[in-house]
Amino acid sequence: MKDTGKYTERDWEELAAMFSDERETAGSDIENFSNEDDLHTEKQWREIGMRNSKGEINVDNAWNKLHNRLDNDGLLTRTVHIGSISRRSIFLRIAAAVVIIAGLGAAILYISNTDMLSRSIVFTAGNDQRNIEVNLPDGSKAWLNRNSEISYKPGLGKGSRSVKLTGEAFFDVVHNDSRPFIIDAGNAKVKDIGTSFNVITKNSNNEVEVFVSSGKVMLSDQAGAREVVLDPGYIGTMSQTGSNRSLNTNKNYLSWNTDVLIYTNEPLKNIFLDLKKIYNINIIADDPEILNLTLSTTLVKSPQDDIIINLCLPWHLKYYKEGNNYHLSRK
Amino acid sequence: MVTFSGRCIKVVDRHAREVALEPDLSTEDPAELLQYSELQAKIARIIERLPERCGQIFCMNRFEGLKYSEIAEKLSVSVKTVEANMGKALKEFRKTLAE
Repeated sequence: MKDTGKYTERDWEELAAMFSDERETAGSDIENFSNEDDLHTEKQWREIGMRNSKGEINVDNAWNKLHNRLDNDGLLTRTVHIGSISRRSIFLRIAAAVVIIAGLGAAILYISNTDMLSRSIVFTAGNDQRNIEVNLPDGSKAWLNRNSEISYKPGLGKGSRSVKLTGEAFFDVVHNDSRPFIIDAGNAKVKDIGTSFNVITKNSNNEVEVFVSSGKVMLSDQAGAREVVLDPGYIGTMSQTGSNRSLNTNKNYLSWNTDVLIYTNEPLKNIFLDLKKIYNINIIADDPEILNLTLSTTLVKSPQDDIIINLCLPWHLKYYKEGNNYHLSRK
Repeated sequence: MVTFSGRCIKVVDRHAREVALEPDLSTEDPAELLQYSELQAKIARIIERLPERCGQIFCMNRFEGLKYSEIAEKLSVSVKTVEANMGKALKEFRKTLAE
């Protein structure tokens, strides 16, 4: 189809209604839309719908139930309190972001003013700083997970493009055939043949681990003797003794970066582990059987307290916060 | 609080590119997985571009599977408004697919 400009607002409404099964047919002049549509808009539109909306709890209902219960228990001030915490935490996050950005800016200024060209530029994400965006001079981007560090020489992009990583980062690399983007990950080298991927310099087995989200990536040992080429969806690992390649089956692999967590019948104990890893939230089950309850839910950019509320709702669990720990219990 | 089943407004931001939706992991075909992650990235972009209310209606229909009439009731708007917003969302969706 060459031109969609001929379609009016009304046509789009008719088409949307038809693709969403609100109507059986659209008007006669747009009936042929899908036949002519080389982008398969209808198919993809329907596909979004099919992939979702299965087995999730209805949070709105659950929320209303909680609200009623709190109201009955005379605890409604507590809900107000929760709201204010969220807002404050958003403010704190923004404030923290400003401070970090200002800090990074100051660091760069300091480095350029001192003109230490032989020195590396270093970005470090501390224990409380997950998902720190780093704009590299060649236009590529990296997002650092907590306790991670990336460094590069000031001339990055002019000659070779190489960075050194410790910890975990997600990369979105501007591809350049003549200047490959190379990451020194300690025990291995990661060479971008494509665009975006995640690198962990030491996973739980002490290996370098790479997950490719789009494009192609080559993982090799420092000597270049062993190589693994990774396609999207694959995880590659490299250790002193060997390398491996497998298809990723963890939907939440990049959650630290995307702030999206998806669970289907997942035991709470696993969810607690993820929340600890991603958000540094400690959850303690005062009743051990809580750990084996299973939950299907999708958490998108939720503030901490909302996450805990989401976990508690299906079973009306109680929670209280003590320092950095949330305690969950049956009634 | 934002979840797909709850208030689905700021569903995805510029960072959300991979796991915003639920991929069908029964498939072992990387090409299909790739295609899916591309669709996810596109959806992220669409929602970013839509006005807030419009994105919310799009999410309620596509992610939560709510009918127009149900959305209208939940948001206290007319079905016509839902229709108009879904039209806008589809137009933006088509535009993003073409990029």
